[in-house]
Amino acid sequence: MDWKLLGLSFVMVFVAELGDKSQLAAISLSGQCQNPKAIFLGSATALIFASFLGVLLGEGVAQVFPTHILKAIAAIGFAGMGLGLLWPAQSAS
Amino acid sequence: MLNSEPSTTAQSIDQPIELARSQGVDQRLGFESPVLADSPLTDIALTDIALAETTVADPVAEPPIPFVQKQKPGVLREFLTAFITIFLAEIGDKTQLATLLMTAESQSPWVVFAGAAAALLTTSLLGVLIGRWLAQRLSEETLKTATGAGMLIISVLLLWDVVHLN
Repeated sequence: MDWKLLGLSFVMVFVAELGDKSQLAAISLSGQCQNPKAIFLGSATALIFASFLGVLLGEGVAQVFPTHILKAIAAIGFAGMGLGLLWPAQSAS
Repeated sequence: MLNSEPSTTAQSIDQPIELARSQGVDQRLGFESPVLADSPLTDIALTDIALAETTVADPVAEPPIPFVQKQKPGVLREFLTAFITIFLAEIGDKTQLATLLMTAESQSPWVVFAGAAAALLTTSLLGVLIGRWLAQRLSEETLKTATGAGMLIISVLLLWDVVHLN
């Protein structure tokens, strides 16, 4: 086991991810939820699965997944949830 | 008052109600006429329903058993919401590209993956802890507004990514 490489990749990803939008998403999703553990597990598995696909497919991720379209779908999803919460008449979640 | 079981979820859900109750009393003293203020019980109950309708129903009217049953499908739904939204948002992200570069350069890609996975677990845990901490500090309405604004910011950041990935 290459501990130096393990530590390096941990620190690099940790610093890159700290305060990033996925963490912001985890904060906002858990603020409204009833089950924080479900949000933690969902968020952690999604992030790890995305990284796993990255390692597995390498540069091919962009070819296998239409990342632009997926990100656009996620953007619409977050916009919908955000507007649902801000809209006064609508009782979201 | 809610039920006899001292479960943690019931306690955490109970808090907004207590908060709403204190706000309800403030509102009643501030805005209602003195005639209505003479009947505090009905007044507080009405304010409770109005303020807490998005999270929980009135605990007095709702028996404890359906309340527990209502929790169960919520776990899976919240897990899937978090998984799907964050997976879609994160696929092809800059962190992933950094991990890709490191795995391509190193001799042992799975060590890099293990480090990245541990880091992502930690940031998720931190995110959820911050979210819960904020949820306990802020009032129901402030939290709702802040969460909605946060989600709109995420949406804008994602759209920014979509435009600038080309």
